[in-house]
Amino acid sequence: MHYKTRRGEAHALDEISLEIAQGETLGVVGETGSGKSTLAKAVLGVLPPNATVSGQIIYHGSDLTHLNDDTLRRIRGKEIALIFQDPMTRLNPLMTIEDHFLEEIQAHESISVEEARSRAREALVSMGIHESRIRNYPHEFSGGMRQRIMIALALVLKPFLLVADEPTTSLDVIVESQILEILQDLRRVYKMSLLLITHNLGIVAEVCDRVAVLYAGKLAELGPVRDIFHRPIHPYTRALLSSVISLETKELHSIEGSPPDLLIPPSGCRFHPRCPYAQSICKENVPPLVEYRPGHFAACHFGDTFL
Amino acid sequence: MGTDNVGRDVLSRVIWGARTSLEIMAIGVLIALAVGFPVGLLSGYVGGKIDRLLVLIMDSIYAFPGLLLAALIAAVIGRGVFNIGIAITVIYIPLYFRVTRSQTLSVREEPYVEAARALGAKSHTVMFSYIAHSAIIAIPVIFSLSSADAILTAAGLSYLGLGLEVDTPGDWGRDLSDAQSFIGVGIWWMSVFPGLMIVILTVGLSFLGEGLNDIINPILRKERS
Amino acid sequence: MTGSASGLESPAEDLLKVQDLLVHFPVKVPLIQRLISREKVVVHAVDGVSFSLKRGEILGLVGESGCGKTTVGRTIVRLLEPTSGRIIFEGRDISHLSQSKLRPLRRRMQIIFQDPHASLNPAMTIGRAIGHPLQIHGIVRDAEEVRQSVLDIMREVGLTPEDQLFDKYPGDLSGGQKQRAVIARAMILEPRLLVVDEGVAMLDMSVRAKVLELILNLKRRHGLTYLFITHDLATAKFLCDRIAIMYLGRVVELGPAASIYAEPKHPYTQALLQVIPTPDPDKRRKKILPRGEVPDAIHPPAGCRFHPRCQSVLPTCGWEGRDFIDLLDEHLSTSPKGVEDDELLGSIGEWWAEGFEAGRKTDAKDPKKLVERVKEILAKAPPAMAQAVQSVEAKGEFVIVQFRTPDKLVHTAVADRTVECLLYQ
Repeated sequence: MHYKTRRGEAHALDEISLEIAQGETLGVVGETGSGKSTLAKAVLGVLPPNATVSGQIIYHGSDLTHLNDDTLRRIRGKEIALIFQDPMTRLNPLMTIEDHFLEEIQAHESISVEEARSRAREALVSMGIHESRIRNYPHEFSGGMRQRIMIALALVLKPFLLVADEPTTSLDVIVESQILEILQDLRRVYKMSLLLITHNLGIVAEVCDRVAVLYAGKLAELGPVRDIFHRPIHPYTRALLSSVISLETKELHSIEGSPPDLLIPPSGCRFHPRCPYAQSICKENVPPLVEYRPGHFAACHFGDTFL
Repeated sequence: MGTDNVGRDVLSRVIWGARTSLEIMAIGVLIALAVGFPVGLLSGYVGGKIDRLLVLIMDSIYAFPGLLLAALIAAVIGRGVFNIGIAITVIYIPLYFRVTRSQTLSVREEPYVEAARALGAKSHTVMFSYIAHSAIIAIPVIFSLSSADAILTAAGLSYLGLGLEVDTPGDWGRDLSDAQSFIGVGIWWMSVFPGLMIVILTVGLSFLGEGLNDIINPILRKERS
Repeated sequence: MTGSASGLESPAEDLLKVQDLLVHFPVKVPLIQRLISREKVVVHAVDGVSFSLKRGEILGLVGESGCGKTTVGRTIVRLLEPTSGRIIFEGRDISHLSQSKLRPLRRRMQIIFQDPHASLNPAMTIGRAIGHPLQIHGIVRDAEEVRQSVLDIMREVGLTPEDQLFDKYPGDLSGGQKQRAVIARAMILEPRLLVVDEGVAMLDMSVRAKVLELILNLKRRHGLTYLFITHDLATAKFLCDRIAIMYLGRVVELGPAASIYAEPKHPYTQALLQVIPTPDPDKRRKKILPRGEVPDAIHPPAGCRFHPRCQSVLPTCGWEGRDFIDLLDEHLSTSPKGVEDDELLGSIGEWWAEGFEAGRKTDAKDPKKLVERVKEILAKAPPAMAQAVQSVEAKGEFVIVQFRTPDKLVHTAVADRTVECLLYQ
């Protein structure tokens, strides 16, 4: 499946083209104001009413932006599922977990209640939660378990694509690892595609096959995970990677300035005000996305010098 | 607008009444604000037994039907513009108290308030420099709405004969009650005009309140985002 | 306890000393429940924490959410009052000082909170907010002097151009700028101790480094001492001289950062370190994750609180009735249901656990069968748990599983640090 989107006014996303193959995990990395959350919502068609989308989101051959609401609703949940940072936005505090599952399953498939119940129990157990808790309410679970429930809900219909928007940001490291392990297992077992949106480069390195780096609504770099981490091209990617604090960090690096205001983005390359290598061409012309290595793209006028 | 039963000009009574009503309203509502706001702020901030006691008192007053309470107070302290103002004050204090207190409670837990305490700010500084600005947000709206309500209450009191001194010029309520007996005879102007004025002023103030709300809310939203 | 492990140091060097700190929060319990159970229901947020902070050092307080580290931070600056234990700041016991006595002391210890977006008063301009502490403490009277001091400190923390930013409101600033403003506000009083509660967690990665740099620069320039509270082990490793790892209200390991990271002793520390995602796709490795999640702090596990999840657990670590119930629950949920089990074991609700016992009332004619079945289940349990069982017996109408009392946990000096773990006792 692949998508190109552009959103008007505050250009939250500007001509992004991405592809995800079946069974692949694509990480979308960006900081505040990069537009990554907008991307998730655009794919699922859940943008706020004042958003305009131009471009295409091609899923299994059809363009999602041109589908009517009903068809979209059928696809959403059954074939494309979404998990958020905060599970409570998805879970209704007044409904038991079982009710959540039943609602989800029965909205997309006409099977008996009994069968739906047993599918729900299966899904819960596969997430490591005792089936005896299926009648509990969301507030009776901890944050990590709620996230697992949300994943279980997203997966109970065996979607082809799972979009995860900062799924572990609010969780502790140990729980985060547990969740990531679950996501990886699922990929293996169900050949599910995963679009993982995050600012955490650590988990991207752990889990993703390919990575897209967003800056100020535009695609800065896109490529296989090893290339991005070991041989980054775009100055923003390099600066971002060097600013990550890991157990091996000996020196601190940061990026000068702050992300631009999307209402008046900088001319030419949006990163030029903060780029240590900026020249006049960077201010004047928008750099095209060029394939510097097989499958490895970057949008920088001087990409060659950084190879 | 014609003249009333004793020969007084209805128009001038109506105009005079505006002044009287506004006077009453001003005294009543302003004092209610001046008392209710700080007490609400204090109660919400301090919590504990003092808070519980104040809430109990305020809720009791609030539970009383306004007009009845005002009538009781007026009956006790007597007539006059100032006295009605006091009666009205008492009715509206709980309103300002509650609104302020609930705002205070929600803002109290914000990190910047805690930061102020950590900096060593004394309670009054925290209350007035850090919480008050947020608590005050709802006040203009409540002010106009309670003013509108106050007009009605004052008129109601006068109508019942408990309000202003007899023959105070421009007592709309009184005029209404006086005029009642004449409606049957076809003399409509004595009652309609004062009544109309009450309605206009009340509705006008309510619209003012809504308008203020519309202005303030976007400001609130911008601040929050 | 901790003093001995960190080497010889004169008490005068300790800027801060925390001794057996306990902070418990009451839990709202319905009146009936309160009357029935004599036990006071509290959240054991901090349950016996001790450490000292030397002048000029950065001590990291590291742990996951719910471990009590934020509570420790807030109690140290007396935003909370300790339930018991002592906090000694600059040689003075401030544990129960009144707010008015604390006020002058607040000039010397400050706290930076986690959320820069919520730490600044939205109704105050940056300039006024930063200068407010000076007014609060009546340090400078002259408005012009206050303004100058504020501009100076803004320059120092990198909030430039300072005259422009002075009149801006918090809403106009970026996350990084806001955090700098918060630091400036705390610094203008010239404190000796700065408690930083997750100071960079909510900032973008490219901005974090700048703020951390600022923290280090301020330390060098002003001889500050920091208590750095975080869940991010990587940042703690970079920044801190010593670290204390907390789990469910207690400190489980405390010592020099470099050696703890090189050779973690406590199983929880080992698990944490192992689990940090490394930003290197070539370094993916299989992780051994502790089971389950952090239990609730109202009824913490007996003995060593980490025992239900520990990969190196011993029979003496604190196995109790509840652990058996959990084991049974898992068995009942995952094993295929046998009719016999239905009769013998029943549902999980029929079992109770209290302290080191667990059991159920049985109306079966031959309780021996239940005893046997329980023993079978225990045979499949982790060996440490099975060995901790003292007896499984039928006593009248009941079948009771009895655990041995665990060994007492003490902070033990191991190499250059202290660890609270039976593996080292």
